[in-house]
Amino acid sequence: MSLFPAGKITVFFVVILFITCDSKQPASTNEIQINFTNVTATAGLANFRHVTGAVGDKWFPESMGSGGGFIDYNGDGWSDILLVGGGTWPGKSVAVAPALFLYHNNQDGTFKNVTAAAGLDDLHTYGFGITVADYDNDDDQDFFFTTIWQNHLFRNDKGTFTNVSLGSGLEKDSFWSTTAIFFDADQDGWVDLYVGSYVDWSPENDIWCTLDGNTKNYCTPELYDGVPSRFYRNNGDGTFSDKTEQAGFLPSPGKMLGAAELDFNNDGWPDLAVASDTQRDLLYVNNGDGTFKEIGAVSGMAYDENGRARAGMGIDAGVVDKSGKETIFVGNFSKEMIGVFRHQSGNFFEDRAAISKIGRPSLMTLTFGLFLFDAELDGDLDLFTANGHVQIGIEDTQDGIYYREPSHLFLNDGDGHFTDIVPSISGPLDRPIVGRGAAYADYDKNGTLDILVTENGGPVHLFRNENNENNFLRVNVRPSSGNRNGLSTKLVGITKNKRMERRVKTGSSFMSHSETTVTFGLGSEEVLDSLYVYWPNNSMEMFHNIHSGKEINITEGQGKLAVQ
Amino acid sequence: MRFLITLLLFLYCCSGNEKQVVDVPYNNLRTNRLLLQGSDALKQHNFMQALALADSADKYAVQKADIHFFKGRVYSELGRFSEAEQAYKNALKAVPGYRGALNNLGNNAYRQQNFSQAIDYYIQEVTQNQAPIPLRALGRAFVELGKTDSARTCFQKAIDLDMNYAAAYFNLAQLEEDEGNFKQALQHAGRAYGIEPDNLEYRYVYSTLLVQMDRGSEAIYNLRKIVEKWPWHHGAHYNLGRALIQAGQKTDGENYIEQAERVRAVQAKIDHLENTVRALPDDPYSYAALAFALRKVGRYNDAMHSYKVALYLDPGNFDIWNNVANLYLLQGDTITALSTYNYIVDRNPALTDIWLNMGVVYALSNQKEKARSAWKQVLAYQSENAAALNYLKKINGN
Repeated sequence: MSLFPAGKITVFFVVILFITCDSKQPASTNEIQINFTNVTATAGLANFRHVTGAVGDKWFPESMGSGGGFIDYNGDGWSDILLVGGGTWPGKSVAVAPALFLYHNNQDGTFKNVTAAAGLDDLHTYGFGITVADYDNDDDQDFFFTTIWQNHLFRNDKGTFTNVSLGSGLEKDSFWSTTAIFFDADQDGWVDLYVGSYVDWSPENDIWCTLDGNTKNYCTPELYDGVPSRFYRNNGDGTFSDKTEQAGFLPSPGKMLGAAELDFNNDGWPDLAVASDTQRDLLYVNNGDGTFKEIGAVSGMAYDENGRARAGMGIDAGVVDKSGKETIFVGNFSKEMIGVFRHQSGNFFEDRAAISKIGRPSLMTLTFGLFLFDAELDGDLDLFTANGHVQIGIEDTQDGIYYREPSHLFLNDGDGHFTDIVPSISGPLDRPIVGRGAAYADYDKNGTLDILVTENGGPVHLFRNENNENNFLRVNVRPSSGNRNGLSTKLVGITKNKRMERRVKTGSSFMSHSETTVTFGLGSEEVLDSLYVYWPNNSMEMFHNIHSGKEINITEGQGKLAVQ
Repeated sequence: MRFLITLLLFLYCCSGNEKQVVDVPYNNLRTNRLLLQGSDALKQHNFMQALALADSADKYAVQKADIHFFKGRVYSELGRFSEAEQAYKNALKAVPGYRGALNNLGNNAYRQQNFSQAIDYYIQEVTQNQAPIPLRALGRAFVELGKTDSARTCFQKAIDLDMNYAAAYFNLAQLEEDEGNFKQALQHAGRAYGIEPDNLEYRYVYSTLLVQMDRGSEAIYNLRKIVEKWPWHHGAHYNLGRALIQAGQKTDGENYIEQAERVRAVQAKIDHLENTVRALPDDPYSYAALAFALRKVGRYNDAMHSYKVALYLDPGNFDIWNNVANLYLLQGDTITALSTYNYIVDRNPALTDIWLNMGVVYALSNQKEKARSAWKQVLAYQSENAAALNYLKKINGN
């Protein structure tokens, strides 16, 4: 006789409950007016393949992947695409992979490989990230390229590039560099450069790591010493000076993978949030003179709620709710939530990963690329993340974790609560990939923001945003005297129901570059009631009743809008 | 009868504090006694002794399931999952539906991060034995796979079966915390803490929830207590720092956050060593290195566990034995420390460092003659040993 006569029946119900309760509860598809199409092939990007150089040694850098992004290299107002090809190891591979690939936007939805014509085909290295800005203030887009060895500065000369690293002051260091970011730290009108460094790895000090005790696998960064990141002041003459220590960036734990510019304390000076892998994340507050003080740990944004350092990868910051305060988002490892830290007051931040509803859904994925953008043009910043694990075959040792992972697209309800809609809309974002870099731009000039994602050892993906229901306004800024890209300009757009705060910036995400044009999603509104432009020099201009559906240029002090 | 009750109590622990009612012929007293001794040995992390006692019990056992099950527990503690799995399966073969075996198979799978397999085992256990423990375990496995609705159902069901099941409240609290439902999380954590007020982990989670709710001042007392008892716990330092800052004590708070960073750096090394033993489960030196790191931060019980696993893998390693003896000393167990030193020198009398240590321990416990004898043993092997000569000089001078 059973000790629990009714037990089996009860258990039956319990088991049924387990099964029925597991269904995902995404937002209703009826409510979602957004979709993406993978246009990689039709756009002419299908031949690109990132190369890891892996030949079986399982060298650490091979697991990292690289970035890419958008650059208007020829100044025609259309976003072109610059991709990092990865690299091969000297003496290890027969085929030597090109380091960079540049694709010209044909303005019809397609791209053409112009790497050679632009003078970028003769560089062979092991590359990681790019950041784009007009460092010499000559009205074109230059870029900086990070590698595992020497980094490279490319000057744009009317659509062709010259490697001006030698003599620039940026060529001296030879560390494993990752994400770099241009920003005008001291607001002297010349963009400075922060270059993230990772770990002290070389083939000579490679460590044998394993998941199963038998075969070598890729190491994680705990085993290597971190290399502090560096800060270079732009001298205004085409050269840079290493001011890492003088500017307050030392000491630092290194292992940096992402950097985002923000102004959390609204003092008009750019601050810097840094994502670090297995080290505390960092927050550099600008002292108001281009030097910085690191306050990450005390501010509350450096760790998770248990004081644990996580594997910080991509990072971005923006105002995502009605508080008007900036929130920092940091992509982390699987079994770690995406970090979400909203500025509270003073130098303090509150952890909102769980409350924002981003934390739990992000636990099963390893996030690299991460950025805020208005996906459905409703006026709220949403969060896109590109995901993919670093260990091939991780599914064999960790149940529920996969090497290839779908992306997340967290839609914002307008008050900082998010829902991942990827499971609902399926399509290309739901397709598992080994995601790494991620960037956005309106490459087809239809007002919606499209997504570019790179894969480690794989193709690039261009996802066209098919949302064309809502209205938009796109804005380019140009300070009269400051840096030509208007970096650190704050724009506030006001409609009947929304206040939208945006910043012009480089960096963010993971080793990638998004367009610097600011997009305001207006929903069904046809007019932006007011636009406030806070220039880097702290002057402010305002504009009213701007009709939607166009891209405008604002030059500081002219008091008028130029339609592009 | 007393043995039977004790055996039942012992089996209570087998599958994680669960009452065991084995519907099979009872074993004889000798078997039960040996199993109880084995259980004591297991508590002391004396794995080889525990297994030897199980083998002895096997000779007298009427039914073998208890023996297999016990061996499964020993192997689980050793992190030797395939041996443990075989042992639990043997128990199930001997007595189909042996209570707790499927649960423990689930635990094994869980520890190896095979959560789907763990779920299969837990559901089988729950099907046979609708008890709170496998239900909670099932919930935890669901959490790992991101199936939080199912997890919540399991935890709630476990609580329905045992209203005082603190661990289930604790897991519910963590679940609600991850979902951002801090109020509910605090309620559940408060319940767990209320049921087991001495449980520092529950106290810690309760306190951190207060900090997350910007009620840090209410958490300061508890967090200070935790930091006192767990000086190695970086989360407690960090949250105490946050709590103090929230309460307006900025300087104090910043000091604790700085301290947390130092503690965290040490913990990161331990995490790495733990990963290493997972990857190299047959390497005694990995376990010894982990034990050393744990000992350094004051986690003596965890350190002892790791040293004993190392000894299981390399029983003749006297360096590890010496470390074990030293750890007994740190734990204040002079008698076991001395017996361990003696065990070592019985097998290798030429180990002068051990004699030296023995002499010190004897001297500290005011057993001067024994101390002299130990240090003289050192001189028997190394007549010029400066330390031994110095000690002898001091003790003779006194």
